[in-house]
Amino acid sequence: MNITDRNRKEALKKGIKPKLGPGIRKNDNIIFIVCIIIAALFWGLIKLSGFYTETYTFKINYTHIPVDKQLTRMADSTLEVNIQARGFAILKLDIFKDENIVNIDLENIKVIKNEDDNFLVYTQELKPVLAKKIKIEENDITLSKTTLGFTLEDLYDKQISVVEDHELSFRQQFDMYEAAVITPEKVKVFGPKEIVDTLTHVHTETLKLNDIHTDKTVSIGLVNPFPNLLHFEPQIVTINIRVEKFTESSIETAIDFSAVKKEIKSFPATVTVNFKIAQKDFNNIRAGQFHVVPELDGVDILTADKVHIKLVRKPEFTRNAWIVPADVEYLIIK
Amino acid sequence: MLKVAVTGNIGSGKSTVTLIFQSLGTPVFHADAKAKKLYSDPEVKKQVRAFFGEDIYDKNGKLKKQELAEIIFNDPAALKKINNIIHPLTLEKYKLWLGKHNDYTYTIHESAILFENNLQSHFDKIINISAPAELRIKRVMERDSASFNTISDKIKNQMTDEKKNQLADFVIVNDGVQFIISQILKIHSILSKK
Repeated sequence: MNITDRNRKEALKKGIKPKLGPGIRKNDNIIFIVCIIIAALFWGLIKLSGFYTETYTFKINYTHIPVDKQLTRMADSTLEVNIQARGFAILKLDIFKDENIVNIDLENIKVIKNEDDNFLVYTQELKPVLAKKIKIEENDITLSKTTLGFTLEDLYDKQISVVEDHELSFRQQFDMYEAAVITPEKVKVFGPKEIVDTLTHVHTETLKLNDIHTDKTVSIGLVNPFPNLLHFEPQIVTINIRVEKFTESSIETAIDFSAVKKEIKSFPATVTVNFKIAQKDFNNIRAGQFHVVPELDGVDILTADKVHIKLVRKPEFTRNAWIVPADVEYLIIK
Repeated sequence: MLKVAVTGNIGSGKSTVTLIFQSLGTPVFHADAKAKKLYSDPEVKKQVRAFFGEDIYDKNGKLKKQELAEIIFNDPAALKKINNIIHPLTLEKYKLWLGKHNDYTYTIHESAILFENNLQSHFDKIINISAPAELRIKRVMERDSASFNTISDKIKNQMTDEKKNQLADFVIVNDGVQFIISQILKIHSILSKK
């Protein structure tokens, strides 16, 4: 027994009422607070076990709108969802007072054509979606509207060409064998007539490839100049790039002066056509596949000292062709 | 009839120039080509074999041009000998050829080494085709697929353009910049009047 307790007992024996110490006051405070908490807890449990009604507002968002239609008006842009449930259930709701959106998938809901371009959907069909979304029983939900109305107008459409944009870098000696093949070559564009009518083609996103030395097949999106107004179908195209190893070659060919109605002798009589060719086509080259003629536009053949030579025909599988010499002197034989 | 010689160093463009003269209706005697053919002549073969040995012709009787070229390039005596065999015969052929072209105002004799062989006295007028050495080397490299050094060595053995220009009556500059046809037409006009 400590001195304090002994003093208190002695004081009681003597009939003297002892003064309360600081330790006793502290313990009482704790007990008081605990009682309050317990009371609050019970109060909370009693309150949460009661039924409450809460109203939340959801913004309407339509998805999978048919490609040939455009949503032009929403008669109902919001939907109020009343939730009547025990407090416990409401506490667990995955929902906020603001920024709630309900997506209505027009592909997976019954759409009723009302009149003209006006359509509606029954909100009853949204209940399972909403219940799942906010994690509550369907029966606990009541909706402020039975139907949601909206207007879908037909979109104008036309076929337009796809033009590919690319930044390609090939390994040395390698190059594209032929123009890139886009599949499909044309896509359908849907949108307001006044905009669609201005379109002749749509560009792909820029295809960037480096160190190319084999064939490439790449899927790539289209660049929509007015994403809110236009819709392309399909939205992705495939680009096929054929790649071959190229080499430089040359061939000597005679200049054809037959377009000049005079007997002409040029010096030299032949020119060398230099070109790039895929190695696989190298053995298919013949002089007769090239046709070089004098450039006669704006030239007075009777007085000029020389004439420029141009290449008017070459095999499709050759490229970067140039002629040496580019100009020749000539005599008109009288 | 005027006897006109066209000469010029290797790669100067003699063939193109004579081709243009031919297109203008002027007969051209290609002396170098005729000289090459003479090596197949039995009498020439006999003389060449006697000097250079039997092996200078192959088993088919064809001249080993490369071997002969190497010998005469390094041996002035051998060069003189071959010139003494070939050039008189070439001149003989030329004279016969001239006899067949008496009706023309002038005829052309094309030869690369006219001055080097002192043949200028056989002609009334001499035209030299002049071109910068670098351009001539480039042309021959492209034409004959020859090396730079091979062509340079040949050029060193030829008389310089400057010297030939001094000795010639006409000079055609074939430098790839000046038009050659207009130069030829001027010369053709002068020669046709004579």
